[in-house]
Amino acid sequence: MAGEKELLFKLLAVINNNYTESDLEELILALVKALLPAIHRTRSFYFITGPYNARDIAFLTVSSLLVKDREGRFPALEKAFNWKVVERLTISNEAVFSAYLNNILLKRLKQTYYCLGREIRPERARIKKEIIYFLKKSKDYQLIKDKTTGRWLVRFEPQAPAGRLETKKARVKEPEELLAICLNSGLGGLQIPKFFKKLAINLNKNKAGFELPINDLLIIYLRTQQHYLKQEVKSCSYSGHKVTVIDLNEIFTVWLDELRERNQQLLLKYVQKKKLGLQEKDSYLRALDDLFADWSQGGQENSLFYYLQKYQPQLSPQAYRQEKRKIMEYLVKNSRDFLKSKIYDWQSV
Amino acid sequence: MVKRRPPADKNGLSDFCGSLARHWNFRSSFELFRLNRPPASPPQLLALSAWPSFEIYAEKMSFISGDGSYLLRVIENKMSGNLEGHLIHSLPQKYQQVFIELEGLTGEYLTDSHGLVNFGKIELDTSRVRVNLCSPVAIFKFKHLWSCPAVKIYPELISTGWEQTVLDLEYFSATPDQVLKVQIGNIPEGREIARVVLVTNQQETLIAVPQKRLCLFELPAGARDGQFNIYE
Repeated sequence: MAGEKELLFKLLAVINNNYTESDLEELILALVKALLPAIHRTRSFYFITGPYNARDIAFLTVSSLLVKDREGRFPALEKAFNWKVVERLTISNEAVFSAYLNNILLKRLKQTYYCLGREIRPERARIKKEIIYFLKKSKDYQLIKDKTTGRWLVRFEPQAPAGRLETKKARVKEPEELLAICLNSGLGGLQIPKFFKKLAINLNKNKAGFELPINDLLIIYLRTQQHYLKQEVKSCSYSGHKVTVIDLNEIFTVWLDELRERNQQLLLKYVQKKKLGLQEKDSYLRALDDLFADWSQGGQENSLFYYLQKYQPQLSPQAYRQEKRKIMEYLVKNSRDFLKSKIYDWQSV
Repeated sequence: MVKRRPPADKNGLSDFCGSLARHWNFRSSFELFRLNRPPASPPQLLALSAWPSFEIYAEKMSFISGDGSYLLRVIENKMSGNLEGHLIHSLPQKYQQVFIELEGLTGEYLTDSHGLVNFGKIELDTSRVRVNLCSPVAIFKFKHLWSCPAVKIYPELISTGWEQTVLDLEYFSATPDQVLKVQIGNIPEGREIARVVLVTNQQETLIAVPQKRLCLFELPAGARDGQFNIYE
């Protein structure tokens, strides 16, 4: 622990804007090294779709702390180590500093996971909505609001079987433990209501309760399904049944390029008929691009008006209804028909 | 002027540290030349201020770009002892949020929306100092972030070759701090982004070093509109 105090001094020098490049370099190295074991321990729990390895996640976490302002100061770092904290840390021992630093880094790491995990946002949002819908109806689970953080938590208290005296209840503290219970109980492949009903039965059997944020439950559900699918694919390949792996995303990208070209041609016709300006044509194309991106990620999120309004900020709902809706709906219908026919062709092959 | 970057190491760790800690040799930066002319007459304090006649500002030196479009005046504030830079160009996007590198000195300096930069109390060797400027390769503006948590934004002012670049913004209000995730896409082949600067509606400026073309910004309270500048 001899280096901890030195690290604190380096941190203070950086916060007070009185540092050399090598001070900052050493501090970054120390933070990255401190983060790596935690990432190796927790990474598998989070559902991250992007191509990020442990070091990338560590770099991202540290770099978010080291965003500078114009004066060369680090506001996020200063916020985490404000003068009250610094005062306390300078008079306390190294273990206290180490624990505080660890706590800050883990919080930041969780934030990074959260930001990276949202990369399949529309689909996850839908699943989360379904989970909340079920939990609200369920008698086994309770939704409670944490007064200190304002976050919604899900509480489960095991019930003793009728006629028996209540025995000591265990409490699942970490989401990893609950995930392990889900995996061991074989809850993969189940729809949300069945998943949570079976989970409640298993927790009652084990006399275990929990109180976790909804986001953690969402991740647990996703991870269980992901694990189940992986096992399914494995078992298929063992049984000699060969599954041809086709990247639909790649094919979809090719179709989208073709579709963009078609829409461009359609819009040019409108321009030639002087129904649209050139700039307006681009805004339609961009709106359609956003719509296609949402289609490929799980579904349309808003009405078509919002897609177009993003690129025509002055557009009012009335003006949209009177002049633009026909064009936009025609383009969307065409695009949908085009993709449908492509998918049918692809399936028949 | 294209400069050589420090060699990349195998594990990338010192590369990463370097990119955050050391000032970066911007690929798209260019050098300014010393302008040899008598210093401009300094402004005097008004008699009404009741101070003795004293020169508050003294022009130290001036620099000009090869095409004459940029002018940088380095001025010394004799009251505070600080050196200030005033970058002048006919177009606002050319003097706003421009990185200024003073060779031989550590640290990067970024101009504000008026083209001003405070170098602080630094020792400048007036006979040998060299100045490089790096202006953004693309500027992206955004509005009303809270109304749409995920948006794709396209550049408004672009250097040649960066037309296809797009930013994917995701706004996270559920985390304890409001976080903005910025993913840079469609970067021209073989090019990399060295810095991303966020200027919010409240004129706060945050400078990030992207990792894997990704930055996480902790937003200042109330920041909803603003712009991103990216630098190569």
